[in-house]
Amino acid sequence: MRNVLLRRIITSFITLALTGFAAATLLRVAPGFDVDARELDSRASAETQQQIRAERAGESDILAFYGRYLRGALQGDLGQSRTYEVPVAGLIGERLPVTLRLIGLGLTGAWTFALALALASVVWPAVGTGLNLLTAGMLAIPAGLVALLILLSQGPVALGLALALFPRLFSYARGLFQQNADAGFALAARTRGLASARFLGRYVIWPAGPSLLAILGLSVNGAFGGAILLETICDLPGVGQLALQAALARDLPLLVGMTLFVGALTVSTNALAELSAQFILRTRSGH
Amino acid sequence: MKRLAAGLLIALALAALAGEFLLPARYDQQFREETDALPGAKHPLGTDELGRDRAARLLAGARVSLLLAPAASVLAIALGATLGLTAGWFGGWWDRAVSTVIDLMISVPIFLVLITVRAVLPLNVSPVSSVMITFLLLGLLGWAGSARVIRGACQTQLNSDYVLRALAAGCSRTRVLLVHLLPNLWPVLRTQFIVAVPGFILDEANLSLLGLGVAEPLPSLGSLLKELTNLPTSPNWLGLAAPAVLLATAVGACEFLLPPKEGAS
Repeated sequence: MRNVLLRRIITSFITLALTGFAAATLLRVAPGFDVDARELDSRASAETQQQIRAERAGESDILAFYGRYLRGALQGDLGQSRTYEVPVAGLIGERLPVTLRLIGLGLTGAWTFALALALASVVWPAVGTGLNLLTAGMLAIPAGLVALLILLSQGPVALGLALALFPRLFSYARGLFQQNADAGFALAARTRGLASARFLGRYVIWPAGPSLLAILGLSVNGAFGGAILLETICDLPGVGQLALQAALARDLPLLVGMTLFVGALTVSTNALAELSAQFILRTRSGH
Repeated sequence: MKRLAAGLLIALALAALAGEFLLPARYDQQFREETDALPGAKHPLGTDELGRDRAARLLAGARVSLLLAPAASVLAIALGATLGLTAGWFGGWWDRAVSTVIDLMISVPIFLVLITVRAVLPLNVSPVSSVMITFLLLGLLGWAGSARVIRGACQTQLNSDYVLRALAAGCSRTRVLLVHLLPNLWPVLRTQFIVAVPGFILDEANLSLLGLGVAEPLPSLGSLLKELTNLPTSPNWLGLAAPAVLLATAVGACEFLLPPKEGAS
């Protein structure tokens, strides 16, 4: 288990470093990167122009920039945003509570609905058919449209995120629960007259635990993608909205900081979910 | 149900293709005397604030989304199949490298990657270029999920009888891969294609809603959704809601084309 943990941590760090490097490289090779609108300002003195060019020169060598950036990041310094002219870490920290609250509430709502309805569809197959049609319809609606509808109805933004995440989670959970309910060991338990609640808990929900944990990790990715749309369309000042603003303004330090931050969030959640699933599997098999 | 969904998609694609001939106006033609017109005989879905026929724009938008999403899907599956198959078949360092890249692509929210890459490319481009950029990006960045599935499917086939027999009969590894393995993985590729198409239609819609998708005056189903913000003030709810209904119908029909097992899990 210790080896698995160590390997996962190392893989996570490599993935994270590669993610940040890819983002920085992308920005560096983007058309127009070398042009700074401030240089066109005729009021700027020669000294100011020189300073702007010096700032740019530090970012032109991508390897040097990224190496310097990573050293700073390890000490908690994610650089200075070029658009907002404030430290990136401060900007992210300021907006983080909004996004964490949105993602937390959205995920809780989506998972609660998904698990409850998936279980209901296994217990009452007739309900399952109706729910399948409902989720097929919901899967056909883009998250952006959900955000627009939330904006128009002035509903809670977290409900929008929950609605956007629910159909896929429901499909996964229902598939897993149905597979367990139809398994030979579950049918044998049922024919021996096991009470319904115990049957569901022990033979339908419990074996699905590790797979559901793995999906929980992946659902954080989906939640962040949804948060970008919901925060932008519903004008919620969170990290998702900041990510879009950083991309549109080509703010290199902010964008790399955002990518590293979001990458760290999703990679660590995925790793944690995966390790928990493996831990449960190992505990069950007695190894 | 599958036949109904397939029939619906074919009908939508045909209507989108024949849109130019079915309706008297082009998607960018302005009727300046009839701005914000309500649905009527001349304009079945009314006109927008610039006097453009909403029905013509809807069919043109459907043409962009319904024809280019499958094209992007073909590109993504071709990339995913090339990388997944070679990784699964040859193994070793190549498999580890491909798996690392797949993990990298999957571990970061794909929508963040999409907006970042789209934003660093020029935004002030011609409408046709914006369409090409959007769908090329979707194809080039959307291969990771299918590559993982194809790699797994390839690995399960490695020890099957037909592969072992072909190798024992002296076939080269490349020949076994292309002539024997690839045709047997065809159902997996087809399913991945059907899974990717609705995903790309939805991604384009989301990108367009943020202003990073198809540029004006060319419409797409996604860019037409933006007009829903006028719903509280406009009496033409039919014209405003039609793109959302058409989008949901097309994506829903794609979902029903999936084999039952993939659709349920």
